[in-house]
Amino acid sequence: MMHLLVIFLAAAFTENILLARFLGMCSFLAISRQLKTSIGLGFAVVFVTTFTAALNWLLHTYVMVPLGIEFLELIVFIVVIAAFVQLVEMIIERFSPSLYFSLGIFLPLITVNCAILGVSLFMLNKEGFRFWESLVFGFGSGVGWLLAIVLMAGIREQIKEDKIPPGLRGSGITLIITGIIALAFVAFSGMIK
Amino acid sequence: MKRVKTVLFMIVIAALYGAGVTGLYLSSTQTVEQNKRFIEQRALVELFGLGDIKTLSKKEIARIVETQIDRSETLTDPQTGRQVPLLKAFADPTQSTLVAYGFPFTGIGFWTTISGYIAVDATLQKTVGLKVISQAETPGLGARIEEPFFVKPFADGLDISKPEPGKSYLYMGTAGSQADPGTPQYGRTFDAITGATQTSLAMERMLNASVAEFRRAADNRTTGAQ
Amino acid sequence: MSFKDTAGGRALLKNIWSDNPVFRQVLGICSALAVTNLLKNTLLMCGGLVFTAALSSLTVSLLRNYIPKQVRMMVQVLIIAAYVIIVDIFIRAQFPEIHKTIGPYVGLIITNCIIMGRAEAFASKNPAWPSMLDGIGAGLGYSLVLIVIAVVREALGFGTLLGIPLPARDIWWYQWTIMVMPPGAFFMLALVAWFGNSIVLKKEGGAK
Repeated sequence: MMHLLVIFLAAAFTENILLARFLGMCSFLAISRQLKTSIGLGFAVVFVTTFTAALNWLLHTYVMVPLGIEFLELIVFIVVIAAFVQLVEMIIERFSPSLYFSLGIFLPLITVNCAILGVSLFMLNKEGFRFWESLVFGFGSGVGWLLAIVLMAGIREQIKEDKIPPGLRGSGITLIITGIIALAFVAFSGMIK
Repeated sequence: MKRVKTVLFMIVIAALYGAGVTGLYLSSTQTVEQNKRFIEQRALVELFGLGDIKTLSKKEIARIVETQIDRSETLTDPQTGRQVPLLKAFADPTQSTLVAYGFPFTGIGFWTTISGYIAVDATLQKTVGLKVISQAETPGLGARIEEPFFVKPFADGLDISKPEPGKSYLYMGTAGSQADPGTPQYGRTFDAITGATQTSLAMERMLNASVAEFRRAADNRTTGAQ
Repeated sequence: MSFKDTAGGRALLKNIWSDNPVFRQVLGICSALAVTNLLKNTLLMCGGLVFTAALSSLTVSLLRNYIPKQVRMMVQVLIIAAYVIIVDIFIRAQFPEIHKTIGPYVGLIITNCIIMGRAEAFASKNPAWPSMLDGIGAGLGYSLVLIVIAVVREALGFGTLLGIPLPARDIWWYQWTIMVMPPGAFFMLALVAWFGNSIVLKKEGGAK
């Protein structure tokens, strides 16, 4: 049990997929405008990363390796992810139409959120990852992404009233804030050995 | 009825593109394998300085590797039981003058697996070179592990004799700095890459692991021979 | 009727500037962060993106009346991934030297949201020819921004352009390490977004 917790904490914090590896930036920058939508999208990402990591691990171990078709890995992984996103889209459309509309094009675009494909590919590189480890790793990475987007949305709600040059509003200022957060994380990475 | 059509459509599309990719993959496996072998051969020739890779043809490089590098010996790590290939590079095809020994290293970098060879001198206690064969680190940052400035300390010679207990074989240091004599880092430090701390740390980790394994296996060989 | 008045021409031009995928729609940021510290890598990435965007937009548009809504994402992603991998295998077999530099980007091209974004927003509703031009336009708009950023980052970070040292490099150049690292890309992207948005806003304000 202990090592699962360690995997979770590492994936969510020290190896945060968004802030340490800069994956999954597009929807992060576009959706973090409002806290409520961010949380909605964040949970969708947690759901998708957790289950695609587990499912892709099963497919990799029990189908692709025995058949020797690892070269189809990228295609299989991304199609599995797309199928899951489609499922999430249908669920959200039915239960929360307002969230569905505020996410707009970015809901289908979770498919190509590189963080999710990244999780599926990274878990294969980790030594000794079995089914539960992969599931927890996917869950931890998703939670890390959720925390990062909520953090960003909080900052953006705070500065909404501030005087920002019109051209810099929206994406511009968000990029600068992300740049500063990224600098902090670069410094962290040098500290942990 | 509609649902069946949907599923059928998905299957047809997947089969079509899957077949396309598989066909191309199968038809190119041989070429890809050849390319991979050539890249490794060229890397070995460069690592041991057996010829100028810019002027040699593919065939000549393959012949040099075949005649001047002896790959027959493998060492065994007594601790894990794992096999470590020991390459012997000779200056001539008759294999009379030894240039250097070599062994492979591999490990997980910041993104994917990194692998390559380390060359060591006849005493097996000092490096004489390092060559990365495959890596996919961030271009311009981590990918610079292939560049001369990173490889230079290994070519100049780093100490890989057994360190004091609790100390590492190799250390990553600030670019351009020199460790003082008497410190554990002296003669064992290679330059980190500015801006690519994670790749540098990963290299430090995997090189230490591979060198430690080689050390155990090599010491086992000398004691075994005596 | 000039080229700019056709549906495809309009889509192409709009994507290059006033609806630029990078600074107007904030798409394709991950790859923009990863590749823009060297101009050569940026050019390779942009070439791959324009090619894939054009081909996948064309294919999605041709199939648009046959793709059931429930599985459209899977189909789109499958098409994109297949094209990228086909190109990857081809380059790996024929040009192993080029593959060494472009290899790491394969996953990044598949997950570049510009391609899927254009397929979803435009190609799935429009005829083939305009869709292909739309894809090319999005690719070119992306390339425009990335090349500007890459020129600045490589010049300040390495003192070179396309690997060739700039004139009198020894006198004026001091390495800006931050430009080589991802935070530098964020700040450059912000500057480009600021500049681009200001011009687009001004134009829109003047037109009103």
